[in-house]
Amino acid sequence: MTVSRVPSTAPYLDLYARRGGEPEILRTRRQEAIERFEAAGFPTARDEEWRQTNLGSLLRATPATASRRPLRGGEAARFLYPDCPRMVFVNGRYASELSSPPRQVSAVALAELGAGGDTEPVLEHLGAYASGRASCSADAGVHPFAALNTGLFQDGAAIVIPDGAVVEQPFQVLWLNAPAARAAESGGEAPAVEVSFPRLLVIAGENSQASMIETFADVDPKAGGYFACPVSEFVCGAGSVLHHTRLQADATDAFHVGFQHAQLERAASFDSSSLAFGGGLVRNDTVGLLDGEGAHCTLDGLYVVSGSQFVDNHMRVEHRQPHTTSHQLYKGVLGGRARSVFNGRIYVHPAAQRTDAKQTNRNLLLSKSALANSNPQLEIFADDVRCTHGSTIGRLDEEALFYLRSRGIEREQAHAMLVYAFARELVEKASHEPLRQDLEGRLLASLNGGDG
Amino acid sequence: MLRVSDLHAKVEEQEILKGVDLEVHAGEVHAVMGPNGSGKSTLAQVLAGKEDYEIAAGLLELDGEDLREMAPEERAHAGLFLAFQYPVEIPGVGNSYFLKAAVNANRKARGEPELDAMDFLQLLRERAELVDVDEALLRRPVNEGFSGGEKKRNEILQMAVLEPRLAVLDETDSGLDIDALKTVAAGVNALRSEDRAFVVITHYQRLLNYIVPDHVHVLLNGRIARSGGSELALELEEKGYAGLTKGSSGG
Repeated sequence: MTVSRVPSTAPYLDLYARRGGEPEILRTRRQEAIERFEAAGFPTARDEEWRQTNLGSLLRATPATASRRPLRGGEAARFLYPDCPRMVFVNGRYASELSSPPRQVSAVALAELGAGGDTEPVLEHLGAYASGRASCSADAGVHPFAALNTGLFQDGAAIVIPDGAVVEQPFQVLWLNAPAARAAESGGEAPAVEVSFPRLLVIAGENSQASMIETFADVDPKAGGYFACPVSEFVCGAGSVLHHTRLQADATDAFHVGFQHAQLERAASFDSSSLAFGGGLVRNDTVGLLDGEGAHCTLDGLYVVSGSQFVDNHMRVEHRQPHTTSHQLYKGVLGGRARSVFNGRIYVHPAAQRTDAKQTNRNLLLSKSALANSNPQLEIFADDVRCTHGSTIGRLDEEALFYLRSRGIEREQAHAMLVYAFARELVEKASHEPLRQDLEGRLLASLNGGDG
Repeated sequence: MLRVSDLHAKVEEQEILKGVDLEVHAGEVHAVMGPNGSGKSTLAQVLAGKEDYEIAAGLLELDGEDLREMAPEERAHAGLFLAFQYPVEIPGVGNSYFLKAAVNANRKARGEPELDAMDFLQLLRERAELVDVDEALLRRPVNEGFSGGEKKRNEILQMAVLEPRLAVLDETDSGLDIDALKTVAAGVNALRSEDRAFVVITHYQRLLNYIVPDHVHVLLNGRIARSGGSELALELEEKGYAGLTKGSSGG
């Protein structure tokens, strides 16, 4: 029997000690967050929530803060949707020259916080949910990576949608990673990894309506070897409608450990799609907190992975008030030796009568060595509720494959048609046409080359 | 066109075809009849290239080419078509998208230019009318939620669009009411031509009132027990398969 060594927090505390300046009004909040991180430490295999996520290769690497880097013209353009207002961040830092923030909303780079404008709502909510400043759940502990992000983010975006505003055009936040060079693997020493801490806060005012696109990508897929540790917080005011698409297209050897939290007030609606194609070790924790009567959240996702990719989605949906509804549909396509974890927890508080919660996780395995884990967890403390969950792990339908081939369709094309058919509903959900086309292209590209 | 000689096929070590002989020429319609378990569907699936079946011995040729060496899609490119007894439902794949992909895959394999969206739509509409397939079915996913009759008509539609040289219809009549049966038969008859052949596999003689075969074969216990003209189907209808077994063993 081997004793698992507790991973050291020291290299990350050292990053905190050596960090650059920060807005004065955030100093205390960051200090508290890093103390919570230090107290919690990194999770180990004995931690129930992290049991199936092997962080070894990430935590053995020596972190270095990703440095500021100017982009060459056009490097960001292929990830942008032409008509959308945008904020672009490179290595976690705001690149104003690549950005064109929307006019209808207030969009502030966090590094500028306090330099002007109304900081009140941002200060009220930033970090309130993600890093345990105000505990949102009966038993939700500190998420160490979220606390780490609060302590270390170099910059970020705070977006405030005014009460009653209806924003037609989706607003894109692009998080680009541009590592200086492939992390040097000098003999014997621990490899280095460049770390960035993207941070997003969206506050949707009462009865507002807006769409957001978050994109995580790398400038040069050959550089790779970085660690993105993003946190996104969504505060959905009463009656607001917020659509969110999260596209994760990191390099396939990148680490991505993200946390997102949606806080919903009375009759608010949050509809999110998370599409993951990249990353070598990917972990996403998503929390939907239905904190007002009649609130609704849709948390959908698609992961398409192959090779030795690992992707873990941990969902927690909490129904705290009556007549709240939640829908989750996560689909996975796994080739090669890829592995996935879907952990879907629905927690219905005693007050949350007439809750309607639905959760589905479907996995399609394209190779014998691919492996999918699916763990639904329902904890229901109200008696008048409807909660359903289902999970499937299957392979391509050989009868359907033969049927298509018997009509003259080549094996590879038939294969791609069936996989596409399995995943398409999550791609076609995107209502912004350039986004939908981008997602479709990525799905098709991953099917052509992703079966290895 | 099709030459099957002393064909032995087995699935999971169980021999189902035990020496089938069948020769089909261009322009002919052959009916293969037989009771349940006689090997009819196995013959159809083996012709189309289903990998579950192992061909233990025998010849299987289309226009002199060895079918055994060909993948299912290659057999389709060579002009073979199987109307499935149980058409497969394929959620998420639109029927007309599927048909277009199939038509163009065949054209590409044969070195013909692919059809564009307009040309394909015209072809599809024309053939859908021929076999009385409602346009709404073209927009739905392949066979998903189709009634039994709709599935069978969809098979005939695929045949009409793909224009095979040899079409094998596996119990296309089963589960059809008389109106649907007439529609299916009319579709087949409209496609009959001098350079196209059909193998119609059926349990019942009823279909053969509408698709009149040139040759009738009776498959019993994995072998063609008797062959004859269309009158053989009527004899079968009268005596049943049991009567025929006695007849053949006695004669």
